[in-house]
Amino acid sequence: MVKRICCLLFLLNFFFTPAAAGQKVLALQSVAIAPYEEAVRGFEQVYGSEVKRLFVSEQKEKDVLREIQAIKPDMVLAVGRDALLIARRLRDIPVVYCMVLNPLALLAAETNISGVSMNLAPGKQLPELLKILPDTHDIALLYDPARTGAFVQELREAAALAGVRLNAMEVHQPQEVPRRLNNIRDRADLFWMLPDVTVIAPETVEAILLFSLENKIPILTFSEKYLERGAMLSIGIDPFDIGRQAGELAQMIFSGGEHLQHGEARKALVAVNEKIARKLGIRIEGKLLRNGGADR
Amino acid sequence: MKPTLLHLFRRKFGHKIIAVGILLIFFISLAFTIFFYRSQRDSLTDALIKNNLLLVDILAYNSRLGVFSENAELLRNPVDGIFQQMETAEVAIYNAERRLLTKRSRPGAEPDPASGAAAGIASWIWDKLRADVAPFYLETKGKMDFWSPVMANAGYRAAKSLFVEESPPRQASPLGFVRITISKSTLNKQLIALLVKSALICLLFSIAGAGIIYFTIKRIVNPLYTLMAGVQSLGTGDLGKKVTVETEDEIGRLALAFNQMSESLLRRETEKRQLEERLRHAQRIEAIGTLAGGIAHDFNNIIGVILGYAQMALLAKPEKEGMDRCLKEIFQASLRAKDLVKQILTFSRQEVPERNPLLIKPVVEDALKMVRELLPTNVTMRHGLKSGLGRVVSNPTQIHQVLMNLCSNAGFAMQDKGGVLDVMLDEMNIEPTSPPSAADIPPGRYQVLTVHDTGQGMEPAIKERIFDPFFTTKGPDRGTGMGLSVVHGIVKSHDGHVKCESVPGKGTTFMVFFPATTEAKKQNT
Repeated sequence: MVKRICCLLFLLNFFFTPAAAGQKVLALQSVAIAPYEEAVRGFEQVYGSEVKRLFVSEQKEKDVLREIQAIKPDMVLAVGRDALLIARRLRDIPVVYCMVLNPLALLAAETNISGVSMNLAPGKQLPELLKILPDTHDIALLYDPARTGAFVQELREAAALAGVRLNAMEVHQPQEVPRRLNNIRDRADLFWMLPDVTVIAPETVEAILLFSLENKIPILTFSEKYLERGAMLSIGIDPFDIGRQAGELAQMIFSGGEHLQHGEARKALVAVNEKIARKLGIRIEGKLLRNGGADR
Repeated sequence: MKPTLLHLFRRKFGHKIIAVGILLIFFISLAFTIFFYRSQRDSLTDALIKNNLLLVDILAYNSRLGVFSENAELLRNPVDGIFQQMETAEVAIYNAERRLLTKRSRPGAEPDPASGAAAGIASWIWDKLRADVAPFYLETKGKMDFWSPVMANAGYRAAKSLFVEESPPRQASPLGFVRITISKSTLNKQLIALLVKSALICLLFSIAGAGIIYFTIKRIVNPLYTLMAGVQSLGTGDLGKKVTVETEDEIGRLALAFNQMSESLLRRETEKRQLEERLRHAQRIEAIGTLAGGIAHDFNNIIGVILGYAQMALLAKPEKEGMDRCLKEIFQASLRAKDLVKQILTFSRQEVPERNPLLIKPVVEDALKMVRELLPTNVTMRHGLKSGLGRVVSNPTQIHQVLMNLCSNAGFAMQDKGGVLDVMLDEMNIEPTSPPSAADIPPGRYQVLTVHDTGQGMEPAIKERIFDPFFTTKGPDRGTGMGLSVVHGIVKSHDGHVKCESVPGKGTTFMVFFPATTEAKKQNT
């Protein structure tokens, strides 16, 4: 009985919490990890108040849906891939997603679902790279056409515009990675590590990092996690800014304005591992480090 | 004085051999043990060094990424792998600037205060690590440090290169350095266990070898001791002493030879004693004969004077009554004395009658006729005289005299209980290899006259003196004691021999050996 009363009081408190737009938003989070938390905080900054959080990893899908039905939010913010997979089953509630890589592969033609993907357009990444490493002329990468073919095509176009040669080799299985690395060894000033699970399997990451070490070829990666393991440079998304993008999208939905249904991350976050750069004999100007990237 | 151990060794051949054998076995075992221990120690140490050189090389290889990124998390697994080896006490990894990236020590291992700090490591080690790709090791008291540089590209193209290539080509300066420190305590424990095991093996070999040597030598020297006791016994005069022959080897044959020698010595000693006894007896007889012969000549002259005067006195017909009877008694006594002197002269061989080659058989046959008359009636006489025998240089009277004396004594020996008298004549060839019974008779051809009776026989003490002059067992007035002395004198004068065998209660045998001759009968005889 006491539990029911407490729950009722909690719900009353939730609905009577003043929001900036007066709308109730429920944040459905895949898991409680720092990037997702940052994204939610970015969203809250635009939204104007804290939002209720529901974690997918803590309960079953049915319970999650039942709880969403009970809460009856005006909008669901799906943070992460698992959250989006559940939220796409909601037909009568607007859903805004963020922190999802290649979200269109998960969606059909739902009209109530909008959002900002984790994808960072090559056109945004390449200029950042060339600012840090202006002498880069040959970029090598491995990719699975089925997974990152579209991205590579965009990158190829961007590289052509920037006057950089792109040596992109296809791989269809992780086992092909070491052999392909050996093939591109003599034709690369930099190796671009894509978020492609065919290429970045647990057993291939070490081979790629050793490839860099043995051949003194710096690695551009998409996650700061790999900087700690030997990559020199990372250009990734800014979760907080993605959250802000999602917040802005939510505001436009609530206000009924025109908006882009599926957007991409607009800000590139650059980080450099200076120790690795030093070991590879690459000198980076301190000004660039201060303005463009974070020193690790 | 109590015998010392050294004294025992000096006196006992077996002890010397056993001591030498045991020492030999001990030194061989010791040498083998030392060789075994040293080879095992070197093998263990080499294996440990090779194993850890390989491990430090593998650690350097697996640490490349971790050293390159200076990420301690990436170094965790390679370091954990090294700690699977029990000897590993500490693992430390440094970057190219000698800064410690990670260090892990085995719990319980004695921490080395200077091991983690790069400053505590001699600069020549860093120089060597920078100059050479190959791993190396440094040995200090209680521990060994294995070093290897971490190369970006170690030059290995395949995993197997780690095992077959000694010195990969140098490509660039190292990313960092790895060090594995192993405690020598485990190795030392293994070496101590090995030493104990080796010592036990040595002891076992020595004991087993000593046991085998002891029993083998004892088996060899025991017969020698027995032989030695036999020789000592022989040396003290215990002739005929025999030792047990246990084996058929050289020692067994030696024991057999000893036994034969002992038997031979006993036989010779017996023969020597017999010869000495005979010599002594012969010398005694000879001395008596010489004495008696010398006296007999003078007696013979004196008796000749008595006989002559007695005869002249009888011829003069004495007037006094009874004087004639006295003179006759003197005359008869003198005749008996003359006969006795004659026998003494015969015994002492002072009187040598003429001798010619003659056939004994007719003389014996003639004499036996008279013997038959002399023998008691309860005595049966038999004779076996071989025909066709050769001749003997002799005098018929003397042959007659010999036979009569021997048969007379035989008849006397059988007069109470009767018996058989055998008289035989045969020829015998005495060879140098003839039986001991004929050992004192020179080799040659003899005609043997044997007189055997089944009378009362003689005790050895009596037999010893039968040829002595005037020795008789017949009692007063029944014999002169000169019969066998005369026989002895006659036979010796023929260069012959008399042998007497007598068994008390069984009888006596006399064998008279006359040298046979090849001379023919003289024409004038």
